Formats: sequence, structure tokens, C-alpha cells
Amino acid sequence: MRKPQTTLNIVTTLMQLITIVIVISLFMWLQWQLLSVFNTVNDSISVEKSSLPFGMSLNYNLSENILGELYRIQSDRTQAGWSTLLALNLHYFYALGMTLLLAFLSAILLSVMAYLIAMGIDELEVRGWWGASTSMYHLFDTLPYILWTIVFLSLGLAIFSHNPAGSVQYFIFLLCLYVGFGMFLLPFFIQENVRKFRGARHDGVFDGESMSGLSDWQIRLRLLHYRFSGAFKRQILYGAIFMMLFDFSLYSIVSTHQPGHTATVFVQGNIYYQKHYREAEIELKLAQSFSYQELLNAFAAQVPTEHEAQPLAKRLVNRTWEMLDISNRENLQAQLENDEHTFLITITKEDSVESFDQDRLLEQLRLSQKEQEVIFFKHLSNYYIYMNVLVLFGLFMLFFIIFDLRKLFQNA
Amino acid sequence: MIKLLSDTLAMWRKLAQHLVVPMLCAVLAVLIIIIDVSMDWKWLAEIIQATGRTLIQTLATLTIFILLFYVVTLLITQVVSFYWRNPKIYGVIMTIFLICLVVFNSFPILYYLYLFDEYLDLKNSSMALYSVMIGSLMFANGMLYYVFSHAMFEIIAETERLYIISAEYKNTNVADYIREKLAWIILSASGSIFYYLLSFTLFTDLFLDYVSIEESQMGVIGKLFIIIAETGWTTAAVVCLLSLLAIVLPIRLFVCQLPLWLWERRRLIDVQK
Repeated sequence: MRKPQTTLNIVTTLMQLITIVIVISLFMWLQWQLLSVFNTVNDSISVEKSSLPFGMSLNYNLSENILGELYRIQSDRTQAGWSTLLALNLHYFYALGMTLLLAFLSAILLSVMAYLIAMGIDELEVRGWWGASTSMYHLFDTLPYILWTIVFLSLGLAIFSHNPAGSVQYFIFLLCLYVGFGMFLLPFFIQENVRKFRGARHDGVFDGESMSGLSDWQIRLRLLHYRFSGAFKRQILYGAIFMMLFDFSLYSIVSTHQPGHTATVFVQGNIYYQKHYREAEIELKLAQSFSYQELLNAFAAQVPTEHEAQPLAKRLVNRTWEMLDISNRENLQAQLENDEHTFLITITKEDSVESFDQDRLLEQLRLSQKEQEVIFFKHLSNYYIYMNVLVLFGLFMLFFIIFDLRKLFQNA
Repeated sequence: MIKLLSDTLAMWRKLAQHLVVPMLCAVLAVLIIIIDVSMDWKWLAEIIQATGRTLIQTLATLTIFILLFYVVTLLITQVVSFYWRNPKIYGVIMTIFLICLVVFNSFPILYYLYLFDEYLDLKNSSMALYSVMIGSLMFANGMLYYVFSHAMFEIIAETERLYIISAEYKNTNVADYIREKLAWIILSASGSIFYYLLSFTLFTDLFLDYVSIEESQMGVIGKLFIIIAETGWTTAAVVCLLSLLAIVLPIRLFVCQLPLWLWERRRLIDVQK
């Protein structure tokens, strides 16, 4: 009799271990990447600091937006590194806590709503009012689900606009928004619950319970506690994951952020991606000149490896954030000037081919402030995006291990 | 014979009942255009075209989804019929499959659109663009996991039933029963899956805007979303919604509901035989 439990325990432990290893190693990798970016920024700041005479105001040769972001993260724009990483993590986990609270509260509301509606449908079916029960189900299944999201969004905005500074109003706005996202699942959940009621009726649970004097409504509520609690919890966890995924889906197309309030982790990722990275990237693309990365990529790919600047160029191509360090750029400049090998590289841009010899390359190889922003904010938005994926993966695995794995191995 | 005739009549009556709402929506949309001077027939034609584009996308994805489900179903039935007396192997195979789905579903739908946009020149290749949009809809926020995991647990519950346990002693086999159960699962969920996919075309529509493809190529859900976001619930939004419902509801009825009713009717006749 102990054998099935042993198999399940082994598989569960294995799954937990695999999940923990994946989550921790990816988390560490993301931390290491971001720390490298911050250290490079710090190196750039240090070089500038040491080169300036005492008493002069600092001009870091770094984009003002990058320095502004450092100030926003850690209230200090004169250095970056470990402290920046810690401060950013603190921001992230604070926002994550709020996001999880929001998602679970909304998921509980949604699951309760689905259960109550299913109770109503079951009651109508028991009374033989099939037309009414079908209409009740179709009420939530006739409008495309996205319209429910819009309705809830409008409701949330109406509440929020009464007092945009109030944190309670803001939280209610987010709650409405998340419940609106969850409306995609409502028909699935209602259908699932109605089938469970039918199954319980078929198994004679209602007949048995009604012998003890309970009404059908009371029996359905008792069933939630004694028979369907596992399925109900599963719906809550799945609902929370889905709502977060939906918020994540909006990350680069629609901003639901209200200034002055803490954004969810997905919206914060959206801000880094859309407002900082994407805007800078578009401006960079619109500029007629060639970017530092384009020139360097062409140099690394087309110039023979004997060239003195090749190792550094290749390193900068692979570790783009190191371009932010002014000393790296100066070293590359010096190596390009010193080496006597001649070369000619060609770059195709918008159907025109441009050639660069040593002199032209040295003249054009400048890292603009916009390009610095593209590099810096790409890493910041990537950090948020992959951390969010990691959170969702972790929650999905938790969902799988707690609810589904048990079912898969219940007879094993 | 009389029973068959009355069943057929009942089904036609049911069909007619379901067509009342879309017809009402169509009449209302036409009436609004006649009454409101700010609306014109060109607008309605534009909405119908946009709905057509959305439906092509949704139905293509639904077809691929059902085909995928069918292939997986065949595999599951084979695995179950071989291993239903050895649930450990069934559990391991399904665990691996579900974990793969978990990994795919941990990324939002737009991630796939961006990923392909990076490698393919989507703006200049409409074929590639539509393929990517349909492919991305397949991974629309956890749907694959939800449907497949649900199907697997239904199968496990089904294998414990008496008629499956006794199958090998009768002139039937387990795989037939399992396949039939899976067919019912997908048919009964196809209506909700259709709407789910239809709603998620919002993201593919907004993605068109992101890759700077003109608005005239956008589907109806994206259009409706933009109208409501920019101007609120105006007459244009109401006409758009009514036209959408007038077209989408009958399509859903004939593509998803009718096959289910026909399948259930056939099952009923088999049982009676």
C-alpha cells in the first residue's frame, strides 16, 4: 500500500529540485549580467571623476537619462554597482509582492464568482428551467471576452478618476483591471463547476446529503469545503497565473501605469521597454548616421583577426554593455589608430552600401547618448522581462507540482 | 424513425433559437446606420472586412489547434491503451509533455511575436506575418496547458470507470473509449476556445501597429479596442460590436456548437442501438 506514495514522493521531490535549480541558476545569471552592466557604468563614472580637476562639476559623458535612472533607483547618481543591483532588486520584489497580492485577490474574487454562477445554473437545471440556465451561461460566453476586460477597465478608471492620488482607489483600479483580465477564464471555470455539480448529483451526493435535511444551496456550499476545495484552489492559482500573464502580454503595447503609484512588475517592465528602450531605439534608427554597434559589428566580422583592435572589438560585440565604459572606447580608438593594417569595411543600410576605411571609421566611431540609453535600458528591460518569465515559470511549476502531478501519479 | 425525426426537428429549433441574437444584432446595426447621419455604409463594410480578417486568423488557429489535439489524442490513446495498467509510465510521459507546455506557456503571446519579428522581416512578408500571428495565438497565455491538462485528467478519471476496466472482456478496446472521450472534450470546449482565440487577436492586431503596418490591415477586435480607448462607447463602437456579434455568433454556432450537437446525437443513436 505504501508503494504509490513512494513513487509520487520521489517524482514530486525531483520536480521541486529541478524547479529550484532552474529558478535559482537563471536568477543568478540575470543578477550577474546586470551587475556587469552596473559595474561598467561605474567604471565610466570613475574615469570621468578622476580626470576632472577638483571643484569642477561632473559631466560623466554618460546619458542624462541613465544617470537619472540611477538616481531613481538608489537616490545617487555618482556611483553604480552592487548597491544599484540591491536597490533594483528591492524595487522589483516590492512590486512583485504587490502584484502577487493583487493577482491572488482578483483570482479569489473570480473563482468565487464562477462558483456562485455555477450554483445558480445548477439550481435552474434542477428546476428544469433549461432555457434560463443556458441563457445564464451564455450571458458570459456571448460577448468576446476582451470586452469584459474593457468594461472592467472602464469601471476601474471611473473609480480611480475620483481621487487619482488615493492609494486605495489605485488598488481598486488595479483589482478591477485584473478581474477584467480574468473574465477570459470565467466561462471555463463556470463550465467546470457545473460539470462537477452534475457529477456529484449523478453520484448521489445530493440525495444522500438532502436526507440530513440540507437544502440544495447548503449542499453546494458544503461541497465546496468537502469535495471541491482542491479544484477551487487550483482555479485560484491558475487564475492568478493567467491574470499575470495577461498583464505581461500588455507589456509593450498598452500602458496601464498611473504616474505617482507603484506599478506592477509587468507594467514596470513595460516602462523600461516602451518608454526608455524602444523610444531610444526608434530615435537611433531614424538618425542617418551609423551606430557604434553597427560599425563595430562590421569591423569584427570583416577585418582580419591579425588587426590589433580585433580582440577588443570582438569582446565589445559580445558584451555590448562594456561599450558604456569610456576607457574601453578610448582603448579601441587608440588600437585602431596605432595598427598599420589597412582595411575597408562595407555596411548595407536601407538599400545603400557604404564603405569605411580606417580614417572614416575613426571619424564615425562615436557612441551617442541615445545609443548608450539603448544599451543600458535594453539590459534593464531584459532583466524585468526575464525575471517576470521566471516568476511565472515558478508559479506554473508550483501549480503543476501541487495539483497536477498528484493526479498524474495517483494510481502509480 | 419517429425519434430520429423529432431529434432532427429539435436540433433545427435549437439552431433557430441561437440565431435570434445575431439576427437582432444585425438588424440593430443596420437601423443605427440608417438613423444616425454620422454613420455610413462604408464604415459597415470596413467592419465586415475587419471581422473577416479576424475570423480567418481565429479559424486557422482553431483548425491547427484541433489538428494538434487530434495528433496528441492519438498518442495519448496509444500510451493509455498500452500503459493503462501501468500508470507510472503514463504519468512520466504526461509529466514530460506537460512540463514542455509549462515552459512554452510561461511566456506571454507577444514574446513570440517579437521573437519572430527579430529573425524574419515580418513587415515585408504578409505570409510570414500571418503564419507568425497564427503560431503565436496557439501559445496564447496558458490555453494549451489548460486544455491539454484538463484532457489528461479526464482520461485518468475515465480509466477508473467500470466500462473501461471491463473493456478487454468485451468486444471493444480501451483506445476507442478514450478517443471518444477526448473527442467530446475538444468538441465541448471548442466554442470557448474559439472565443478565447478571437479575443486574443487583440494582441496580434496591436502588434500590426507595433511593426507599423497600416491600420486598414487590423482585425475587428483591435479596431474596437482602439475606438473604445480613444473615444469611449460611441455609436461607431456600438455598430462595430453589433456587426461583430452578428457575424461571429453564427460562425461559432456552425463551426463549434453544431458539430458537438451532431456528435452527441450520433452517440445517442449508437447507445439506443
